[in-house]
Amino acid sequence: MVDTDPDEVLALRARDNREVFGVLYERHLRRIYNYMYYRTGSAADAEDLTARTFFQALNNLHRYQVQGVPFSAWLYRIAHNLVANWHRDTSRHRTTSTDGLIEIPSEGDGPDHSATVAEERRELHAMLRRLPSDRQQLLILKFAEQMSNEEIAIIMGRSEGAIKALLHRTIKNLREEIMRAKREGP
Amino acid sequence: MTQWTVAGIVSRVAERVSTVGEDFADLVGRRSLMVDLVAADRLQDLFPPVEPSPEFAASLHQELMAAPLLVEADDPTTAANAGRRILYGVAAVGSLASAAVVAVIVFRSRPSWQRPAA
Repeated sequence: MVDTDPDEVLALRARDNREVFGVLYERHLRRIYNYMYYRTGSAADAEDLTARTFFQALNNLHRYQVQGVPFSAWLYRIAHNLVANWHRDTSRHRTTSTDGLIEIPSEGDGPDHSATVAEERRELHAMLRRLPSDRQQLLILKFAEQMSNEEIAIIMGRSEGAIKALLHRTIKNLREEIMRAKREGP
Repeated sequence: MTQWTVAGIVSRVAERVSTVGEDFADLVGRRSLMVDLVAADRLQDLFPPVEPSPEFAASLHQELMAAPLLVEADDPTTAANAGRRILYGVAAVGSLASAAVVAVIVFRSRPSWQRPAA
């Protein structure tokens, strides 16, 4: 049964069966898109990079080794490399990242409250996007993709302890950054 | 109170401020969503799940099913190995040539009585 087989088994079968690759696509599309959306801050860029991730996975399935990393970690590594290149390329062309800012619908007590919440979320996302790439990746994998430290460690190629320490430092830095911003005022 | 005691208290307060969410929120003064989320480690609330549009999902699925398989011919690791093999080959030939030159010089520098008779 294709639908219940683990990813790693399907990845081997997908090398010469496109339909099986379609099953892997259905399983991982939402999470990869979600990751790309928060890494880029734009739906259009997220679609573009999600498509590139799956095409690259399809063309490199013959290199995927089951004994290496889980299929989902392999897919996230492809996604991470693509988004890192994308950031490098776009930083050459853009001086500010005000275009494509994330718009997240918020449940509010009224229009004013919603506007404030939306504004604060935008501010915080802007702060997140100023963090080094590995810290952004960590926060998004942890809080957007809701992965365990163990899963993140496999994707990022570090130990679980190193991930825990980096997470602690990142949240602490974020707090300090917010405190500084609040002290300096709008 | 000694200088070391004061330093210890300051250090403990600083540690508390940087690690305890509520103190952090109080210090900021004005409570806001940002402060609440980060102070309470509820950062997942900042990332509500977003989904691709069904049109995008369907069209990408179709493209993937129809796409020809592009197996990359120029594997960079293979290219690097080939380059390394050429380098080793050139080095080996160079070593042999050097050894031959040294042998010729040694042979010619021998006294005439040690050379084989013509």
